[in-house]
This record gives sequence, structure tokens and C-alpha cells, in this order.
Amino acid sequence: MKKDQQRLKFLEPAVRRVFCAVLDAHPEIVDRLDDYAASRIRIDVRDAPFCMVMQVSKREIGVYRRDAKVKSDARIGGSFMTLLKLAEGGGDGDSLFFSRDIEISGDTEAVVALRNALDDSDMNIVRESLAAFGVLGLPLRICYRVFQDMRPLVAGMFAP
Amino acid sequence: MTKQQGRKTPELVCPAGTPSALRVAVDAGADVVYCGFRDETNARNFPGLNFSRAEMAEATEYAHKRKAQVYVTVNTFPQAGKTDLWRKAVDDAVGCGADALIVADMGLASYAAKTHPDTRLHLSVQASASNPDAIKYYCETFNVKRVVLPRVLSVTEITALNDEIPCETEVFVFGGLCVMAEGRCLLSSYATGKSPNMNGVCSPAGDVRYEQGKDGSMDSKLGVFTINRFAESETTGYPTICKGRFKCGGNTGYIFEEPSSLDALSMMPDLLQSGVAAFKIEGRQRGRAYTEAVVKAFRKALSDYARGWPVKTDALIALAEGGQLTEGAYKKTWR
Repeated sequence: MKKDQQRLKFLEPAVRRVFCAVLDAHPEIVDRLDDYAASRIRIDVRDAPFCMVMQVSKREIGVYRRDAKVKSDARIGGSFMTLLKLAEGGGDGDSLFFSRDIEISGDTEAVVALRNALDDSDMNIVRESLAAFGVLGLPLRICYRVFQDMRPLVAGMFAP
Repeated sequence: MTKQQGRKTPELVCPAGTPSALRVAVDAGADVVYCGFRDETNARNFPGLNFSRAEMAEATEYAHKRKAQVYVTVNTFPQAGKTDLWRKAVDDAVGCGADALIVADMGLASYAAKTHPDTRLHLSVQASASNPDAIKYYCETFNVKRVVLPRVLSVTEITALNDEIPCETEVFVFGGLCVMAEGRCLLSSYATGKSPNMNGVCSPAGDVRYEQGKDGSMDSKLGVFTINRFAESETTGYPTICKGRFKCGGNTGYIFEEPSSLDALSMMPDLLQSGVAAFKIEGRQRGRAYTEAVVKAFRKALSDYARGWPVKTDALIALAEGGQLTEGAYKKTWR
């Protein structure tokens, strides 16, 4: 299968928008990555049918079928929630690695640099994703606030 | 009564690899945060980690406003012809407002003592000073005020040591363990040409490769050596030779030490009685989630102990290397 056929182009505009919004909001990520900003890093979301390949220095991110053969320097794999936790500093990368919740391959230096840069950034992907969509994000923000407010209530309803 | 027994509780000295981790540590109850500059002058010279000069100055200001202190590690050994880099790190740390310098090299200790006599000097664990004569020498020659003890001593030995030396002692209470030859280990250097002693990095990430097998196994490789193969169900450890699993004498196993983390929570009463001045948490390379969890656990443990309450001792297993905790040499039974 050709590379273009492996690409999920319909997802890319939204993902790219969020990716660029995060980089704009956290310029310190690029600074901390230093030379590793040029590394092409593949993110394999285990419980999703797609993967992403990003290159911070070029502000590029591609979305591909999960089994796509795409050139990258390094790879990080994990469940969506684990990767989200890692990106937002809510989970310790070493602990997640020890427990096999994440796996890495390729250029370990690039992965370590990315992990450290993200950990320092204090980012909140949900918040920044919503901000990335401007006015269109308003209904999403309302839904998110309602979801946040309702979460303890819903959790309580299902508690033993 | 030893000189430290007058203290109510020891200082809680916590790691920070980034400014964000420093803020988390301070907010979680650290008395002191230790950190280093973004170069090979400190023993956690990892990509994306550590502080620029501006970040260090800001971080120190943040800590001081909240009554916490910052110790700056300049604890690798200066390389011939490049000593200016280490001396500048000492000067800049003082300029950023560091409350103490943590050094390992005698030459750098001498420079710091002469150039910045008003700044407290602490001896890094990398100096591997573990007997009274060595420690007294550092105190008398360089006015060292505190020594970070290598993780080779039992609590009984620490108690005896505290009675014989003229300075404070700081002991590790949680985190990664070295193979009991701190500052003298050449395993990383043998495999990669780089070591924590000279380059600030043990098993540098640039020499580490992980390969996933189709059966769910994972090989970890350092340089040209395969140092471990983990089955799908196994927890993993750091890619260091000392935590490698090798075939030896017809058996396959951990011939140096198993992947595990030090946890001295259960030893806290004994360590408090031993007269140590500070409890140190290892892990500047870890994320801020680790920093927050460990600092909070030890702050609570110290508080609970002071009130006479039982200390919870199994709170940190999820953060342990290899999913295992050990009391290490503090409860030494093998000698």
C-alpha cells in the first residue's frame, strides 16, 4: 500500500490544529527538545485504529492507519489514556515504562528528550484542544465543563 | 547525644529535573530541592532535562519565597582541559542564589571553598566518602558542612559514623540504587565510553535501544551488549549493566543486582535515631508525578511519625523500578 493510501487525511486538519496550538502555547517544549525537535517520532495509540508521526521542528504531524509503515526515528506506544497522562505530566514516564504500560523503540535519546520537555510544560491537552478551535470550541468547552461537573456524580452512581 | 539529634525532623531533600518538577516538589512539602545545570557538570545530564541559568535563578526565587532551599549539584568530575565549565557552574550556581553546592571532585571543592567561602559546601555521594577519615579530610580541608552518604552503609554503621565526624550527614531514602560503588563505577564507561562520573550520564540514552519481539518480549541493549530480555509479563528496569540479566556459570540471572528501588520508609524511626540531618529522594530524571507522589509520602510519613502515628510503608510500589522495593544496605544481612 502506498504511503498516501495509509494516511487518514480527514483527521489531519483537526490533529494538526491542536498540535500547533500546543506548540504555540508552550514554546519551551521546542527549547527543551533542542536538536531532538528535528526527530520524527511515531505515537502508536494501542486502543485506536491510527498512529501519528510528528516532527516538532517543522510543526508537522501526520495521521496514518495503525499498521502503516511510515519512516520515523523513534516510536512510543501505549493506550490513549496512558499517553495523555504522560503528555500532561500526570504519569511518570519511567514508572509507565517499568510496568510496560508504554513501550519505546528507535532513538531512545529523542524519546527521553520529548518526555522531559512535555513533563516540564504543564500542558493540558483538553484545554488547549478546545482553545485551538476558537469560537467553534465554545460548544465543546461547555460540553467538557458539563462532563467535568457530572463526572463525580456519574462515578458515584456506579460506585459499589 | 549526637549533634543532629537536637533536630526535630530531618530536612527533606527532593529532586527536580525541570523547573516544573521543582515547583511541584516545593508545593508538595520539600524543605530543599536539588537540581543541576543543563550540561555535563551534573550527574543527570539527560536530554531535555535540567536548568538553564535563567531557569535556575527563577526556580531559586520561587523556592525562597516559599521558605524552601535550593542545592545545586555540580557533582561530576571536571575533565582535563575543560575545568572552566565546572568552575563556571559553581560561580553561576552561587549567582543564582543557591543555598548550597553539592560537589564530588576535590579540585572543584577547593575552588568553591576559596572562591565562595560563604556558600555551604556539601559532598556528593559521587565522592564515595564513607569512613570517618575520608569525611574528616573533606571537612577540615574544604570546610564541607554535609556529606551525602553512599548507599553502602547499614543504619548501625551510619549511627557510629555520625558520632565520629564533624559534619552533618544526608542519606538516600527513596529511588534508584547504584551497584554500591558510587563514583567509582566503570560499567557504563566500559559499554559506551560515557559514565556518570565524567559525563553525567549512566547508560546514555543515545546508546540504549529497545527491541520489541513478536511474542511480546522486549530486549534492552546498551552499546553492543544485549543486557536483558523481558518476557511480556515481566516488569522492566533501567538499561544499566548493573541491572542486566546474564548467562553465567550455566545460570541466567541478575549477577549484580535486581531491578528495584530503595525505599526506607520502614526504616524511618531507625534513621531518625541515627542522627542524620537530611533525607534525600533520588530521581531528578523522573517525571513530576513521581516527584509529587514521593515527596508527599515522605512529608506525611515524617509528620505521622512526629505525632506518634503509624507510618504507611507500602505507598510507593507503583513507582519502583522493576516493581520491587528494597531497604538496600540499611538492613544489610549479607555481611
